[in-house]
Amino acid sequence: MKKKINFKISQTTRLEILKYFVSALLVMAIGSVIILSQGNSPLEALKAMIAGSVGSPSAIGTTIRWATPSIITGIAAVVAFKSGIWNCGIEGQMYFGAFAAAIAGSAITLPRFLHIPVCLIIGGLAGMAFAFIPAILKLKLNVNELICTLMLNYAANLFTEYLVFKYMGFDASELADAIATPDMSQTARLSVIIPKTSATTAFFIAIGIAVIIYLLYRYTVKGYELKQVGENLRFSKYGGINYKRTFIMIFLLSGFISGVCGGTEMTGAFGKFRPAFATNLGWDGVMIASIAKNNPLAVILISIIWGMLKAGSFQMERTTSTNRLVVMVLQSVFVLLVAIDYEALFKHFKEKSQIRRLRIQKEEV
Amino acid sequence: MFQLLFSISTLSAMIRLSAPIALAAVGSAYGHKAKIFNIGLESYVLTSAFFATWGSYLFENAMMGLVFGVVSGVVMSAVFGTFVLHFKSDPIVIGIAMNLSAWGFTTLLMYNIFHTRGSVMDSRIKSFSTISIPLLDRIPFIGSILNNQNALVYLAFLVVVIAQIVMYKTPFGLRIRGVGSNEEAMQSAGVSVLKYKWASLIVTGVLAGAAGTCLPLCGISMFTENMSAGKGFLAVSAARIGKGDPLKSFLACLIFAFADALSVGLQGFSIPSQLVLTAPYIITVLVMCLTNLGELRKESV
Repeated sequence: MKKKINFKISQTTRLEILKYFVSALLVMAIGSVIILSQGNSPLEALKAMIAGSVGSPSAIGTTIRWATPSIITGIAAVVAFKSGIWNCGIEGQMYFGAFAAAIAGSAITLPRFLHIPVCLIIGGLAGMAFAFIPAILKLKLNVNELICTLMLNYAANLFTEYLVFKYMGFDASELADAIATPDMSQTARLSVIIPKTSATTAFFIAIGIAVIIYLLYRYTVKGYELKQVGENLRFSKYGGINYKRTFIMIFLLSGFISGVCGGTEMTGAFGKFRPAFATNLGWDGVMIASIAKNNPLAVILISIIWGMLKAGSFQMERTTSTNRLVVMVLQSVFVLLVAIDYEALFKHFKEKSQIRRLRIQKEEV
Repeated sequence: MFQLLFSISTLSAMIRLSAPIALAAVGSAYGHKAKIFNIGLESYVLTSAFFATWGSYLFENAMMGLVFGVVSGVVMSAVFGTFVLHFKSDPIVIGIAMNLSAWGFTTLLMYNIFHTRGSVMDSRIKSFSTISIPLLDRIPFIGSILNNQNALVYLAFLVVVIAQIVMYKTPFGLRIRGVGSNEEAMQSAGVSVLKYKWASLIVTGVLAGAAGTCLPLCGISMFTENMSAGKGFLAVSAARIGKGDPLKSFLACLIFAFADALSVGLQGFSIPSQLVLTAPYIITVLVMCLTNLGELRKESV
């Protein structure tokens, strides 16, 4: 009996892996077509991608640099989605976190071992505070959190830009390039792990967060409760879980992690806050979480692939003049392909063929 | 400043800006009634904005732009429908992925076709012209607000009225509403649920396509990268606020458009432009809160 169950699990995982493999192949085929249509050779583009992502130490550094925010935003998305909460405001929460962390990094003087954690925590708290708005609106007024967070993303982007103006005392007429908060002090900056790149120890922080969240879900009662709320709302209510408190907690946790991501971006790669610095980093997290099927450890793996794609796409644009948006299109096509529920599709076809067979039998009778 | 709030130019801009959101919102209302949560509307609007520009460029004719826009809207809707209704994927995931790919896809196509980045401007792109309605200009205040608007604006008004009639006075509308409110009952009454879900998706596609056409061909005759800038999301929230009722959704659109028009008008004052630009988004959230507040109160009574 036990053997049978084991066999079944391994077969489904095998099917899963096959599904991802086939999707990846399909995406590569589509990508070749797009690159050809731009008048470039797909082979050259692939070569540039590989050279740009793992070809040299600096390439690996770029890969790590872009994998880092992907992991953290991916985890922020996983925390929310696992409980069935559509927090799509990761990007907005990140902006607030980043702004707060950047200010904390430049305005406060502290020894190094304290300054970095303080910056990250302040960033996290700012993200959390911003996540509180959609959470409380959903709970008290039943406002759809997905649309609410989408709208607040746009607002957050503009509002942090306003805050930068206000903080720096700029005039609105000043050049867009110059708008930034002051440089953060060296005690607030993470150290670089590969020289001459932006790969910093933020990468280890990211992996740490992923592992903590994995352990939380795997081994603690709290994690079990959080998961339950997502899997079956009504059952969790009967099971004696305080739904409202859990809901707020999940939303705030997701916002906190998003804010920390803003913090690591500031203490790591950027060093000062620029308005609209994070183009699509939040959405990367949403995509990664949906590909990883909300598994925190899978998020790490996929984020590294994401980082490779991003690092490679810069090199590709430089050497072959292929627009790097190709990569973004392919990433979202991959999300589409992985989202197909093959099991339901298979069942549907089976049912249809059964109905057809029954009809034939009927006609024969 | 108060004068600015209700000045003719602000109100006229409100009417003009409401057209794309209203068209998309009415489309989304049909989806809402059929219980399809379609966050991918943003991608329909953006894609059809691009194709409308291209169609207008190819034929030097705004009408062909509309045809291109509508067809691309339907195609996007068909992609969404195939994934959600047949491949049983999560509609939210599909919607998000489509939104993200639409941005890259239109920018890539822009580079392939027009060989530019950022924005497309060409004298061959023809917009719809404004229409002057004979008797309307005689009415003092209202005439100057409503008259001399773009042809697509009047089309949007027409669509709202027709959609309202179709939704509540025809068997087609009844079935769409039925599919949304009780799927099993409709199935046992002999109505194909799948067929009507598809029908509602096609309506959404057509109207979102027309909404996309409004963006480039409503006077400015240009396409810019990521032109829709949340218009699709606004439309989805308008449809939710109106609970799928086309007329109510349209009223919500007017509020959003008013905020939008105001943010253009207020830029001359000393209020920071970033704060003014957030107005449409903040107001959307506020309106959602207020409508839900009213409902909760009704429930408690």
